[in-house]
Amino acid sequence: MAYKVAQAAKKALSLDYSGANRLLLLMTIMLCWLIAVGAASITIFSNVYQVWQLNQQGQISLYLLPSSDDSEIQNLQEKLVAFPAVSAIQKLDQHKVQSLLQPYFQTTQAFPLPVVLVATVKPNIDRQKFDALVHTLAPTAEIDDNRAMLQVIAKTVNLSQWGIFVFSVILMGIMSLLVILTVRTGLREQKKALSILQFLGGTDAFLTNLIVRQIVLRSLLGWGIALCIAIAIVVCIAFIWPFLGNLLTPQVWLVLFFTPLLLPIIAWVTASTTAYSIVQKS
Amino acid sequence: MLATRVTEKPKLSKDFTVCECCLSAAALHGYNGHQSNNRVKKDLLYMIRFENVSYTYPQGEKPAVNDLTFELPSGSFHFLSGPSGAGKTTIFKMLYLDILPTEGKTMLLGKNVGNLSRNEIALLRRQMGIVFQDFRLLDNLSVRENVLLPLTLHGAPSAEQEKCVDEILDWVGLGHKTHEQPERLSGGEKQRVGIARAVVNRPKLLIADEPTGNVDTAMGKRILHLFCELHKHGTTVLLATHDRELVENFGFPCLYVQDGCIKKIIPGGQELPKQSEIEDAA
Ligand SMILES: Nc1ncnc2c1ncn2[C@@H]1O[C@H](COP(=O)(O)OP(=O)(O)OP(=O)(O)O)[C@@H](O)[C@H]1O
Ligand SMILES: [Mg+2]
Repeated sequence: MAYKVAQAAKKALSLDYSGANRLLLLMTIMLCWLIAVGAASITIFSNVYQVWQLNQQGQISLYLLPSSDDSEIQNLQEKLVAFPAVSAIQKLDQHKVQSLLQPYFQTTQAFPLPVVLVATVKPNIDRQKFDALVHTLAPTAEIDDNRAMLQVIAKTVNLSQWGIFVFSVILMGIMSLLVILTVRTGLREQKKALSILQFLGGTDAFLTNLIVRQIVLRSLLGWGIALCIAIAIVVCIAFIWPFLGNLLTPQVWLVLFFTPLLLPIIAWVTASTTAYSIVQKS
Repeated sequence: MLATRVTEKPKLSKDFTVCECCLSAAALHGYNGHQSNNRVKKDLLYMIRFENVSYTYPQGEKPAVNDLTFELPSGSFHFLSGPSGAGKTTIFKMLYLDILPTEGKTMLLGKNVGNLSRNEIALLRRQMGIVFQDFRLLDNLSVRENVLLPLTLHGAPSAEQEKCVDEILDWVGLGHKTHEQPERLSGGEKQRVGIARAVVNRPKLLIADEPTGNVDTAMGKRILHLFCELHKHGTTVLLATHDRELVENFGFPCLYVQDGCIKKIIPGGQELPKQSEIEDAA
């Protein structure tokens, strides 16, 4: 197949005359923009979530009875610091405990405050052994277990990721339909040109290529325009809210650039199959 | 049925002279007459071979072409004449593979067209120059682009080829209208664009359906001179015409078609018989 296609051949099978063609460009810009912004936001979201999750997994709070004596607490602290994967253990002072419990009790002053120990742990900690050790040393201690909550949040994040995936599939479906529509209406209007090119010796591959390259170029143009708009918006947001700017990691930029490229790829595949089948039938 | 083997050497009539312009157009094509002639003759003996070919249109009641058998040697020049509705265009449609015979076998450039793939059909058409009775030009292309079209099927045309296009357009008297759209041309001008397009690709086989039907006598002769020049350099020419004077002046043999059959072969330089004479002979 000739790579460099001459102007006259390009013009002969131009899809410019079909209204669907303009719709394709507009919709490509819109869909590419949606995918770019959607994919970038989900990346930021999952980055933030991961950092938060690590923080949550990195701390275990132990609640001891207010009556616990100092030697018992001291002993517990020493034993726990020696436990594998525990890097530090700290006793919270009464003010902090008070402020922590404030939301749950209206009048904290009336109750004696518990003793709270916060252990900083590494992700590879063996929770079962850790919990067992705490219970043997301080049978009445309560261990703050946020695993259930973490799981609920993980599920929510998972669900929203799936939601975005399904949404993207729908967008890709719309893109395919648009490409099919453009190629079909375009070629219906160019039926005479198609048959003349065939009589002059245009092969199916050559004619398909003439149509496909127009669709691909158009969808790449749509991608470029959508990208410019998306970048402009992201830069504005980062300028207005600098803390959001900090979240724009290289990974976010990569996703912003390359995820919407899926649409030109889909356009290329759909245009090739549709155009080839029409050219063959003509 | 009249089985025909046309091998007679064409004779030029006395007043036929090859003008310099014609030679220069051929030279621009890069023709080397003797070499090209020998090459074609070595490759295959018969350019066109019809064996008991019939064709009935899907909506037609009687066959448009009926049990037709004839052979045209490579490098020959023949006229195809006959009354309106005789089946000339139908024969041409079978030659440019728009339709396949409902019965019988057609050989073109040494190939049985019944066994060709779509790709092979396209490649075969590239070796032909076709002048359509209804012109078949692309209205969204300029005159020059229309003529360039066959050259673009192999990639972008070279500067030399582009120059050749301009020369040919000059030769058919359209040098001043190269950027015009075909819809703004007269019938005769459109026909000349079609002729330029058919010869630009150095065809091995040139089939022209009424190429002089819409032009004045002087231009008709000029076009015939161009065909003669191509023929001299190896192109096999089959030309359908109603123009008795043209057939008689140019001295090539004529296949006289009526009711889908060849009724008579008139040797070159002879007067065409009257309709009644042919009917009597049949
Ligand atoms: N598409 C068609 N469907 C049905 N019959 C057709 C069709 N095209 C041509 N015919 C018939 O086939 C016969 C031959 O037609 P054809 O066009 O080959 O004639 P022709 O010799 O080229 O005539 P002309 O000199 O007027 O161009 C005619 O009787 C015509 O009516
Ligand atoms: Mg005809």
